[in-house]
Amino acid sequence: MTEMITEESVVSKVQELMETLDNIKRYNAFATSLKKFVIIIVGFMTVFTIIMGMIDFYDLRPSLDSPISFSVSFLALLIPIIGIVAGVLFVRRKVNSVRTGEWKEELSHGFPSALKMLVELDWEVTFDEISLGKLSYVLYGLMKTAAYWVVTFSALRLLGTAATLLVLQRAEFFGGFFWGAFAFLIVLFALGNDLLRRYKEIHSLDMLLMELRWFSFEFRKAEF
Amino acid sequence: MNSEKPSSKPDLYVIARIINVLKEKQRLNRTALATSTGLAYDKLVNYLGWMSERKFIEIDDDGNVRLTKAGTDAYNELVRWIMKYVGQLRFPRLRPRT
Repeated sequence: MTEMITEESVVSKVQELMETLDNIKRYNAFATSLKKFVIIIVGFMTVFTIIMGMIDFYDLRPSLDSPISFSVSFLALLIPIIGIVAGVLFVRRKVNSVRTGEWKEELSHGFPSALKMLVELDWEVTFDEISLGKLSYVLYGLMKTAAYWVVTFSALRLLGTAATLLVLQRAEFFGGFFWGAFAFLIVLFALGNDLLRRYKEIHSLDMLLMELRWFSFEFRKAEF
Repeated sequence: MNSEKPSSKPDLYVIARIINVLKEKQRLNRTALATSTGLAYDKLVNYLGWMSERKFIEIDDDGNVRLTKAGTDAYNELVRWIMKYVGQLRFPRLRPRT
């Protein structure tokens, strides 16, 4: 009876391991889609920068006598926002399309199948997947935060300029650095919890990597 | 992997599968055992030879295979060993967010 419980415990533990490895596959989806995500974000940001540059170049900057330029600038802000939404949706689709649970049928055969999975698991590939997934997840988080900052900074600058013009009748009261720092604080406030959770996940992945390295070492050196 | 005689390092999964079936069915002839374990007959015979050498199983005159106490103990030891290590693993709750 005790042995049956132990066998079930092994199967249960292997199930947990396989579920965790399924999640690692999801992290890896960030690696495979990161390049396209960057292209989408940078592409939309470039178009936005070009439009804003043209507004500057043709001297269409917001002024009291040109309210249309405000509207154009605010409409231009939609471009990076669309870019972020498109990029995030693209990555989400890739992450959700990862096939998981393909091992469930096999594991339903009990301890021998659990043992087979442990024996046949390619540990080196698994470790590489965890490291790559972790790195991609960090880069994705940073890229997304940077994109949020660009949008917030541009919106604040426009709003700030509009408010300064209306209240103080001056074109520029605060410099770009002020708006940049303010936008940074807002993004930090808005994404603070998300960034903290990401940091904890990265830490968890590090710990998992260490545990699995130890386990694979013990498992491979064993002589039955 | 183990189509030849498992002389030095047998496939643990195959051994575990054979023992598992024998634990469940108590006594089985080789053909039925091959069917139950999903192994090719030749491969099964090689494994049975290896297990018989180590007194994990006994084959009677009628060709019926039976698990010995040594076989049961070896299997239980393997389960315990795996649990000793796999039981120490702590898996984090991971939920990648986009």
